[in-house]
Amino acid sequence: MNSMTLKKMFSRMRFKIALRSITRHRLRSLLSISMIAGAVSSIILFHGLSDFVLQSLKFIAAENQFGNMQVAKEKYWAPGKESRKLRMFNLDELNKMRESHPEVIKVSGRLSFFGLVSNGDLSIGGRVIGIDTVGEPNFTKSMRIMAGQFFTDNNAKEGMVGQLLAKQMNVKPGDNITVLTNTVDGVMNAMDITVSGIFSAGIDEIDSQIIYIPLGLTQKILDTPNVDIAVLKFAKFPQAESSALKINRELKTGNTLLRARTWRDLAVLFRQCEQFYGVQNRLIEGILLALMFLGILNSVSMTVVERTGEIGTLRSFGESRSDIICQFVLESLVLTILGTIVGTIASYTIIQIIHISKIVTEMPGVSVPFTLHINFLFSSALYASFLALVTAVIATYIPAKRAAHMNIVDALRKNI
Amino acid sequence: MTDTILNFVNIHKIFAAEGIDFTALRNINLQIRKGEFIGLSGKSGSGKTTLLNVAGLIDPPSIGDLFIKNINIKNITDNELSLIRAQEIGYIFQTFNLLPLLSALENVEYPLMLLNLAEEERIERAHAALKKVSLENFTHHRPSQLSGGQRQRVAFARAIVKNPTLILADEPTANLDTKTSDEVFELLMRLQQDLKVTVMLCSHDNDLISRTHRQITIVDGQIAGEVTK
Repeated sequence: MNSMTLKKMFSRMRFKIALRSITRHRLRSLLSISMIAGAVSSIILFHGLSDFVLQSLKFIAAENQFGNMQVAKEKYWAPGKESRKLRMFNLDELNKMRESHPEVIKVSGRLSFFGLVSNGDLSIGGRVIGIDTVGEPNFTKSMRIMAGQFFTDNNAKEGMVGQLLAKQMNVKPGDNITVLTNTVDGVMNAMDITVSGIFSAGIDEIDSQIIYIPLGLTQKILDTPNVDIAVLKFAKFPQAESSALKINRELKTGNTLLRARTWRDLAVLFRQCEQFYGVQNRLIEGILLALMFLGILNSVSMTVVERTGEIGTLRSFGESRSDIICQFVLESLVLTILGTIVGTIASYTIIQIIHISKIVTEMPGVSVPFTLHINFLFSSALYASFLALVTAVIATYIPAKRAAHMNIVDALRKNI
Repeated sequence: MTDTILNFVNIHKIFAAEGIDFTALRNINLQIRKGEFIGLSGKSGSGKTTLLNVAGLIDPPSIGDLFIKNINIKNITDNELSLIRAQEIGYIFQTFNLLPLLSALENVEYPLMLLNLAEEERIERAHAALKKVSLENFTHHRPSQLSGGQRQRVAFARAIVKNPTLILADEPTANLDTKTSDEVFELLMRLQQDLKVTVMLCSHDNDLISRTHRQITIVDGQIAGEVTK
């Protein structure tokens, strides 16, 4: 296709005809624009909602539940019948790795155990996690403090109890609970701690069984200076995934038996949701675009029938078949561009209305209702517009090709 | 032979309708030369319009060879045929066939777009063509705002604007009253003489046909007679 052909195909005259053709059938054009706008805005809204949910889950997973990256003994990830001691390690073992990775800005330990938690009347099995609030200052950001406050001293005899567990045990901030478990050497040990606060991480799985206590206290209860896992905080969040391979290679060659896993490796719920939303969004896109395709196909087919005589006249002037197709495609493109602009503005407006309305909703597996938020993503707007344009071109091409291949004499007869 | 624009050699045009073949043109042998004003007469269904369509390269012959400027149209592609139509042939229809979305000026400008001319030149030539048909004051009128005679004059301007070798006029006055019909035909004759363009006109009106230079009578798809003044 040379530049002269392109010049002819996209001349001002063709745009003029396209625009006038659109304004000639106002109602039909308006319906087509609405259909395209509806599809585009729906895609943007669905992408924005799933993005918000995934970003929230990512924040919970990477800043609270797992940290940016975790390093632990191989046996910790796949435990067998070996002594628990063999699954633990000292944080000093990571000093060498830290030197070669300046992007790792903080390393803190976590040590957890399953034990009995008792309020004097009731004993319930729970998971106690010792965390270093100094090493993980962002730890509390993703969780909601429902009552009381988070402990700040690494050796304080205090603990944060998950909302559902606290409800089950009927405890509130200031109450004492007893934690009972075995030390790493198998000796029974118990410790009284004060409930400093009640938290909700927003996920039932956490809220119903977790108690956070200071790392130092956990080490005292288990009688060990070691930790189960090291939580690595990176200067920039995506560095965790980009550095994972290198860190693992270094840990292997350093003969440490330690292995690193990124938050994504560990966050099963996030991965499931990501996969689910991926499938859901593709399905919704498919349905919306199929409807849009049929709508445009129908609309252009009607236009072709109405303009058969005109097509005959244009062909007799010397318009080539590709010129005819180009004219129809151009008209559809103008409609689609208008539709995508309207759809994008509409989706942005809807998002603002939703944010102003502060709609509170609940999500499966999440214990705390949250205010519905939809992220407006330019990438989604571009993606939806691109899909709409491609769909419109294909839907137009089919009847336009038929029009272009009409017998000229037969087409001219329609002028009578 | 150098003056021959169109050369029909043993042309047949056969239409198949519901399994029955109908021969619209039989064994047409005809040479159209530069500057001729040809009138095709004949009864309805005699094959006048079919002959015009074959000459206009919009309906290929079923049998025989058609040469346009010594090029056999059998040997060229659809795109090349379109280009020849765009460059060499101007059409005037009974029903005017103006594009309703465009003004008179834009309708006349349109065929020049197919020749990839610059916009300034297109507009200049379209104005000049409209002036030739005395419609210089109606440039921005849409077809719906023009009378039948004015519309046909716009169609004339559209046909001549690209300086074609051949103008084909299919019953150009059939939709006009007698007075307007005369005016329009006079205009066509004047344009033909001024521009030295070849015109092939078909009409039921024997009075109009008699005013052309070369009169060809078609009967049952065959050339039944020919008179040259």
